[in-house]
Amino acid sequence: MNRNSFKVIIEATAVLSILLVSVQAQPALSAKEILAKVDTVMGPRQFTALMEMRTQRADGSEKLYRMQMYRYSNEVNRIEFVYPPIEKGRVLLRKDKDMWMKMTTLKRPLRIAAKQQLMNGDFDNGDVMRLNLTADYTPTLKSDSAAMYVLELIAQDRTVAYDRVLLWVKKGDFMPCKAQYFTVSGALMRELEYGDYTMYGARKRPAKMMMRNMLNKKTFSEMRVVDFSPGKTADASKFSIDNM
Amino acid sequence: MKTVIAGLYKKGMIAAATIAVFTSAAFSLTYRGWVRSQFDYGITRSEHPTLTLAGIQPDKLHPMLDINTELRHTFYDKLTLYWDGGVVLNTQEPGNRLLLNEGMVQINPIPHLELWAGKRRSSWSTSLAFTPIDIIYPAKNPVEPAEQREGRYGSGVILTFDRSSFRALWFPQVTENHDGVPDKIDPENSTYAGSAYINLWESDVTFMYASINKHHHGGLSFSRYFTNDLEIHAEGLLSQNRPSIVSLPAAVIGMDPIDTNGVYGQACIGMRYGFLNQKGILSVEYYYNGAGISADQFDQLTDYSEVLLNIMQKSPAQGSRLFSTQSSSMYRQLLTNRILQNYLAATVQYNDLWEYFNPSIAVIVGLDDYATMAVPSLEYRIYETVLLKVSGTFIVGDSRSQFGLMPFSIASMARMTVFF
Repeated sequence: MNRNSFKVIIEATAVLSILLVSVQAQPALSAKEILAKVDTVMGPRQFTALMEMRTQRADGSEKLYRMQMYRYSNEVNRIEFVYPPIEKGRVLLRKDKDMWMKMTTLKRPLRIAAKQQLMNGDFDNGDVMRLNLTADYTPTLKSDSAAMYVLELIAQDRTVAYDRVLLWVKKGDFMPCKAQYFTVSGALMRELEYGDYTMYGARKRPAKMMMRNMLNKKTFSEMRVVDFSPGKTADASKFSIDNM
Repeated sequence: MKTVIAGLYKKGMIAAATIAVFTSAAFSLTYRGWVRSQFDYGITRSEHPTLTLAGIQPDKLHPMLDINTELRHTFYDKLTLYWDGGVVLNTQEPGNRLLLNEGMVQINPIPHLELWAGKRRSSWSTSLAFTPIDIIYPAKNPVEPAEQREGRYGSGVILTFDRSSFRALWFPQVTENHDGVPDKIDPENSTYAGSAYINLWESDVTFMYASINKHHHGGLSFSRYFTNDLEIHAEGLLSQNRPSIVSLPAAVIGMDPIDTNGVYGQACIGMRYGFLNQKGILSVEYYYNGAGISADQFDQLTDYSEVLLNIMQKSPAQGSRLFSTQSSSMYRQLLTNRILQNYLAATVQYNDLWEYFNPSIAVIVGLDDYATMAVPSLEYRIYETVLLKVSGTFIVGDSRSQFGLMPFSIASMARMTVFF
């Protein structure tokens, strides 16, 4: 072995060692970072979306609602019902932990709670209005397989829709796949399946969310994103209870 | 000829410009409306004075048709035109009429600032049945609070911030109106009002002040969820001089005059509780009406009513003459269930019973005489566009109790509403 060959081997070993060390030193993502990435997938800071909710009731009947959603910031959003005619004009507003609903006939907003069902379906107000999981839950990593993370989310306070959630997240693109919602006593209340991963401009997110009621398996609700415009929202004046 | 052509050209240009604006991307229009057909039938108290005042013909079926539209035009997110009104075809008083609940122009020249003018109803109240601080607007019927949507003519400035808002409002006194549109106003006796709203500790808190006919009123309202199922609300109003109480025609029967000077308080405390997976809602409110009359004064009023009934039976013409504007106002107040001092209101409703039905019952108990009014109702929702509703009104209390002065003992209503 000549001197040059020895030098090449030494240099290659050094480079390999550095690479190995750097790979080993790269920290795995924390549960909070994974959850933050899920939040980014589900909604940028501001967006406008047309959503469609179908609820299947125990007798097999179905109800359809269409709503325009405006997100102004992580803590502020507004929903306007545009269909059916009987509900048209109903407005929901969320600011941080506060939520209000205004029906056109009452001429004033009423306070509502995150745990109340949205239009008596299987989604709660909080499921639709409170999209910032990082702010509402404390996550821990329960499982880290080759393809999937499983996070356990514990509610930070009583105003959150669910006390405990298990969330399955795809590795690589951080798309949520499934969520299970539990009561304080540990009973499985609902199960949410995400699907139809769709590109909206440069953003990919699930376009379909199917919420199944595990206490009454005959009922379920499906939320579908009909249109999604990241970066676009309503005028600031629309996010005030004086202008609901 | 030239003038005619010039005039047509000018009108054409205006029409073209209007079409251009209304069809541009900067213009948005939302609409909502309904056609409502209603039938009322009451088992009336025979020839009771209140029948005449309420325009009710005894024991007859009263059909009514109501067409209502809400239109909201917005230009560039800066200018909004809003309309809520329609037409009512009615076989009983007040008869056929145009109805304008709200109609206004809103301008948002800069963020956080709104200027408006027109007719508007915008409540500061947190209560449902009894809303003492909504003193500026026409009173609601506590058993059907959503039925009163009429506002008042005025103008105002609203400043809105992230967690607070401030309003300054002016309402001229409308002395004559036709179909809800004012013919004459009296700026001398205007109402000036202001409010400050703060969203604090997950609560809504509003302070309000109003000067009505140069008398001062100050109020406070509060609402908060204390658990995920229980909302508590409260509101109170202090008034200089007795508000909303008419001068009773004391001279007719020698009643003691009712003092209207001094400071009068009103308060309402209540709760909303969600149960059975939030499909059921129980709402309970206690209302103290310091501006109401006492039980003794009410006895004298009942005497007056009986005298009036006698006069009417013997001489209808003379009885009619005794119905002054003041006594009409007195009965209107009676019909909004706020003439005495202590009330308890409770409503239970359940949504989507067997998926299609929304049953509810509203009960008001006058705690001064224990007269009770119960209004059970059932809504059948033919989903998306059609709502059927039937309801009854049952009165418990003798003819000398406050609800005994109502023109009927049992009333029923059937209504079909088609939304578009």
